[in-house]
Amino acid sequence: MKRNYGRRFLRVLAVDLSTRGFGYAIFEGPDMLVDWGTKDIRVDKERITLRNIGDLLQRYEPSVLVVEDCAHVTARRTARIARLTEQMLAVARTHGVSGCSVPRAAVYRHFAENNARTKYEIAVALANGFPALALRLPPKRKPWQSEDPRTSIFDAAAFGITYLARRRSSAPRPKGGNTA
Amino acid sequence: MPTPKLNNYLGTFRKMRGFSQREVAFLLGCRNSAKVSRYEHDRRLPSLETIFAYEAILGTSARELFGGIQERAVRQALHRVRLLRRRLERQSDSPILTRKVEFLRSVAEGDNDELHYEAVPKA
Repeated sequence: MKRNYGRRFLRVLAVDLSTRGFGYAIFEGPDMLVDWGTKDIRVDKERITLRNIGDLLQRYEPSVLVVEDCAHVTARRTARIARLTEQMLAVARTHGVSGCSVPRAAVYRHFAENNARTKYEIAVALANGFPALALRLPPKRKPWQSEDPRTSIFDAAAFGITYLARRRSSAPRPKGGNTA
Repeated sequence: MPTPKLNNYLGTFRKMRGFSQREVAFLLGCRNSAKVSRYEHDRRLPSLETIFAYEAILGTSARELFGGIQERAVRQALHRVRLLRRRLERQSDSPILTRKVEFLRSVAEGDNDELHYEAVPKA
């Protein structure tokens, strides 16, 4: 075994809000999924959601909170979700955590490179990348069915992965690195 | 901004293996899942016996399960290794002292074969 305490990574909390609660995924770099799950909230949704987000921020002390960009032209979220997203970012700031909004269009663009073009295909791609998530993969939704709450986990994970991929691609190259 | 490791990854590896807290409680020989929850939320430190049981149950080393604690313990121990080395180097020369200093140097630099550690990257 190796001593690797010098290794550093970015811990990212990605959250996807839904009509009945939220799904979350916590990454340490693009390869390590630390925690994931859903919270089912049916009463006093805003207050309980913010409290739960606060608990996650306190417990995992992430560097960044990643949420959906509800102000993006392609966003199709209700005013309540958009408002709650802003409140979540405000809660993150009070914990000293920076917030980042990722448009859903960017998620689709990122996963399209791996031939995953629909929500379900993205979920399958994530389950292949993180076998632990495969245990939570819902069956493919039929047109007459409503969305499975577990889909929120995959949406949150997709936001997190897209954020990390965009961050990596925009990172400056090390000086004196390989020029080949 | 880089982040230090979490104190423990018990919940992460439990979920990876698909176990519930109740199942892990049974495997650890606990009466209910409350203790498992406390371990995972860092509200209680498991005993050495429980740590070995966790290693066996989750198939992961304690080093990985308690990443943050291990990191901190190694960092503090290495700091003390450097202090002791400096202290011993100031003392009068003798074969046993030289041997001790050499060993401490190899520990600090991470090239001691017995420990199988890799060198700590310099900040």
